[in-house]
Amino acid sequence: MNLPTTRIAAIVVAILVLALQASAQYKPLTFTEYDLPNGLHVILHEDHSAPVIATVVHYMVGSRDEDPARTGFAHFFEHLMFESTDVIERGTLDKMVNGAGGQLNAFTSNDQTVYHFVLPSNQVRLALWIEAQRMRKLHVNTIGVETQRGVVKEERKNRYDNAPYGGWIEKSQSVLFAGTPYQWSPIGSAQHIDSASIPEFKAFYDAFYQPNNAVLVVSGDFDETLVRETINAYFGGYQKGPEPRRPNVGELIPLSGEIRETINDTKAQLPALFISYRAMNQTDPDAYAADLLTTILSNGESSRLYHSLVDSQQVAVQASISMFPREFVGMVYCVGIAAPGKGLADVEKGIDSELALIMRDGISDEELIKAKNITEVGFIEGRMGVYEKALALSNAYRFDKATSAVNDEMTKYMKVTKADIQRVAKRIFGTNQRVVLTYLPVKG
Amino acid sequence: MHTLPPLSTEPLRFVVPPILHRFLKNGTPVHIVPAANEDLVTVTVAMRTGARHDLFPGETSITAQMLSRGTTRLDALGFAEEVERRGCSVRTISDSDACSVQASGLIEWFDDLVRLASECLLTPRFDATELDKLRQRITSDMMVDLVDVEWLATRACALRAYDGHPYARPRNGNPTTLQQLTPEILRGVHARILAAPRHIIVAGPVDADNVVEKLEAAFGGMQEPGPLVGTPRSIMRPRTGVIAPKQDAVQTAFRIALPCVSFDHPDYAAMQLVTTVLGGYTLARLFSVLREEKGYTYGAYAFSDVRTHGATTGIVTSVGNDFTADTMAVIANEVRRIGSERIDDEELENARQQILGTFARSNETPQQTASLVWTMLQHQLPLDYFERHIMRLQRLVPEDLVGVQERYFSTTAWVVGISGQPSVVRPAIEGVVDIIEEWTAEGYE
Repeated sequence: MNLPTTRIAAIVVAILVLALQASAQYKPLTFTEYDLPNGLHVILHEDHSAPVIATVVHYMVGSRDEDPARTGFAHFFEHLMFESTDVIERGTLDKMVNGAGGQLNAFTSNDQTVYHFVLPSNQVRLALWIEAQRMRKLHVNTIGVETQRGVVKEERKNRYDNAPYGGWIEKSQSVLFAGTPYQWSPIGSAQHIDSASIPEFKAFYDAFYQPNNAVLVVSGDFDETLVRETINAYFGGYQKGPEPRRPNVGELIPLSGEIRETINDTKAQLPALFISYRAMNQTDPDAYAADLLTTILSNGESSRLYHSLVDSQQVAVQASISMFPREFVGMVYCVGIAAPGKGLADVEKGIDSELALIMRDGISDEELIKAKNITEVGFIEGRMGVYEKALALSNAYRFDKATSAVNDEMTKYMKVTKADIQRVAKRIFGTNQRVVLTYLPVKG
Repeated sequence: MHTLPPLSTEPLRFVVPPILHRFLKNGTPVHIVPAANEDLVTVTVAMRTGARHDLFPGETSITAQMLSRGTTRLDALGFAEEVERRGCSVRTISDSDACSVQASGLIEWFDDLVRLASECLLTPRFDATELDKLRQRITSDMMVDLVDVEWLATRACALRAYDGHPYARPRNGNPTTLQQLTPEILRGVHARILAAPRHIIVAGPVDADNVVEKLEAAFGGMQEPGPLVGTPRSIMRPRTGVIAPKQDAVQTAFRIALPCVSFDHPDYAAMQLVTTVLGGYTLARLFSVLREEKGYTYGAYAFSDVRTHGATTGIVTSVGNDFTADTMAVIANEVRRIGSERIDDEELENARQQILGTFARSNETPQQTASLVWTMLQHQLPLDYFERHIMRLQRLVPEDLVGVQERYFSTTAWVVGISGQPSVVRPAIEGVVDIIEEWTAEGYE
C-alpha cells in the first residue's frame, strides 16, 4: 500500500515525538499517617537508603495570618523558635542539633512556616524532642525578641535594602493583592516588629503554635515503632489548642488597568522590568498547565523568552517567567533585565509579543513533550533527599488536603494538553490588569 | 515532659557507597557509583586543568562556557534543543583547578547523555557570534558584581590572599580581557583541556560493563593526556588590609583569609576541626557572637578553601555600617582566642559530630558521592581518603589541636578584604593590619 507523502511525514513525526517522551519513572512515596488526639497530624515515610532522617514541622501560619498592623510576625517566629524553651537554654538548640551532626533551618511564606532538621538516623529522637519542646514551651522573652529584632533587620538589609531591585516583589504584591492579607511579604514591616510588645508575640504564639495547627513529618532511616512511641511520648501530652482565627483572603479588587511605576535604583547596574499578573491558586487544576507554560516560556536556552530576547534579539541578559504559588491566589511574574546599552521598551515589547503569540497560536507537540520531560526530571531531582520528601508530603497534606496527592502530581502534569496551555495562557495573560515595575540605575 | 535531650550515644553508621573503577583503552579512568533504586544518571568528564593555567585571564572559563554553545553538528540553539527536549541538562563547569562537562537526565537517556557530553567536549564550534553573545551576558554580570559589596570584598581579599598567584584573578577575567578573547584563543585552550589528565565519573542506576562500552565509543578516541605546566603554591601577603570602597553601601562585607593546608597534610583533620569551632556552623563562635549575642548579622562563618596549589581559611560576614568596627574587633578577638586557648572537650565534640554528620548527609544521593569522588581525584588523594579522614577526626583530642591553633590562627598572618563606605571601613581595620591598600574595581586590576 502506498501512503501519501504527507501522511508518511506525519507518522514519522509522531514516532519521533513518542520516542522522545520519557515514560513516567518516578517511584511513589510510601507513607503512613495518623492524628494524635490533640490534632497533630503525623506522616511517616521510611527510606533506608542512607543513615539520615529528616523531620519537618509545618505550622499552618504564614504572613497572611497576620494583623495588618503587625506584619512580619510569622517570619519573626521563624527566628524566635531557635531561642529558648522551658528546658532548652538560649544558644543551645543549634548546639544540640549541630553537635549531633545535624542541620537545621526554617522558612516562612505567605501561607506557612516550616521547620526542619536533617540528622544522622541515630538522632531521630533528638529532633522530635526539640520540635515538641518548642511547639508549646517556647520562651517569648525580651532577650530573645531583642536579639532576633536585630537579626531580622540585617536580613532585610541583606535581601532587600542592599540588593539591586530588592523591593520589587513587595511592591508588586502590595498592588496586585491590595485589600487582602497577601498584600504584604513575609519579611513584613521593621516598624511593626520594633513596636510590638512581648504580650503580642506571646498571643501570636498561642494562637498558631498548637498541635492541631501543625503537621509533623518524619522521613528517612528510622524504626516506625520507636518513632511512633517517641511522638506519642513527646507530643501526646499537649492539649488541643483553640482553632486559630484566620483572616479571610476575600475577593480581589479589580485593578483599574495596568499599574506602572518607575523606581530609581542606586543598587542596580542595568535597567530591569518586572511584570506581575494575578494567577490561579496552587491547587487549581489549571496550576499544572500554568507551570508547564512557564517552562515552555523560560526554562532552558531553547525556551521561547530566552531564545527570543536573550539569544536572538539580544535586548536582554535575562528574560524569565515564574509562578509564585499560594493557597488562595497565585502570582505569575516576568523578569526582564536589559542588555548593556539596550532599553526596557524592547524588553517589554519582546515579552508581550511572546505572551501574545502563545495566546494566539498555542504551542507545538514538541514543546509540550519537552516541558513534561523537563518537569519530570525536576520532579525526581526535587525528591532525592529525605528532607525534600518530607516537605513534599507535608505540602500535599496541607494544600491538596490529601497526603496521597504527593503521588498524583506527575500524572496531573502528564495529562495537560496543548489546548490546556493555550487556555491557561489566556486566563493569566489575557487581561490588562497587571503591575509593571521598571527599575532604572542611578548613581548613589 | 522529658527535661534532658535524648542524645544518642550510638556511633554513627557510615555507609560509604561502593565505587567501581574501570579504564578505557586510552587509559582514561572511569569511576562508577551504582545506585539501583534511582532514576537519574549523571555523567561527568572532568579535566585537571583550570584557570590557574590561563595565559590570558578568563580563557579557561570562557572556553568551558562555550563548549555547550554549539558543536560542529549543531548550532547553539540546536544543541540546547537536543538536550532540553529530553529534559536533560549538559553543563560545563570550570574553576581555578579543573573544568568538566556534566550531563544529567533520566536513565533511559543514558546513551544520549554520553553522546551529548562527548559532542560538546570533543567538537565545539566556538562560533564568533555566540562568543559575542556570551561576552555581553558576562559583561552585564560584571556590572552587577561591581555594586555588590560581598563580591568586592571577596576580590579585594583574593588580591593579597593569593598574592601574585593565578588564584587571585577573577574566573572570567575582567571587562578588558573579556573583549580581547577570540575563537582562536579558545581553540588553543580547548586543545589544552583535551590534553589534560581526565577522569569520567558516572553515578546512577547503571551496569558497569554497559557504561564502559558506551564511554569507550564516545571518548575512546581521545589521546592519552600529556604533562601540565606546573603551578607554584600560592602565598599570602600577611597583615594586609584591602579596601574596596563603596560610597553608598548600607552594609560592610568582610572577607578574611588565614593560612590553611592541603587535604593530604597531616594537620588537615585538626585544621578542619578548629575551623569548624571558629565558624563552621551555626553553633560556632563567630555565628554565636555576631548573630546570636549581638544581632549584627544574618550569618558569620569560617571555612576551608582548599585548592590544588594553595589553601586558605576564609572568614565571611556582612553587617550593618554601624556594627563594622565592633565586628572587626570581635573577629580579631575570636581569631586570637582560638589561636591561643585550648578548645574544650564539649566544643571539640560538637564540631566533630557536625563534620561527621555533614559527611553522612553528603552521601544521600549517588550524585553527592560522585562529587566526593571527584574531590579525591582532583587532589590526587587515595580513594579511601574519606574513610581514613573520618578515623583521624574521631581520634583527635583537644591537645592534638593546640599546635594547629597556634600555627595557623593568628591575626599576624591574615589578609583582610573589606568593602563598604570608606569612612566606615578604614578606621575599622586600622589597628588589625599593618598595610592598607585600596582597590577600585572599575578595571578589575
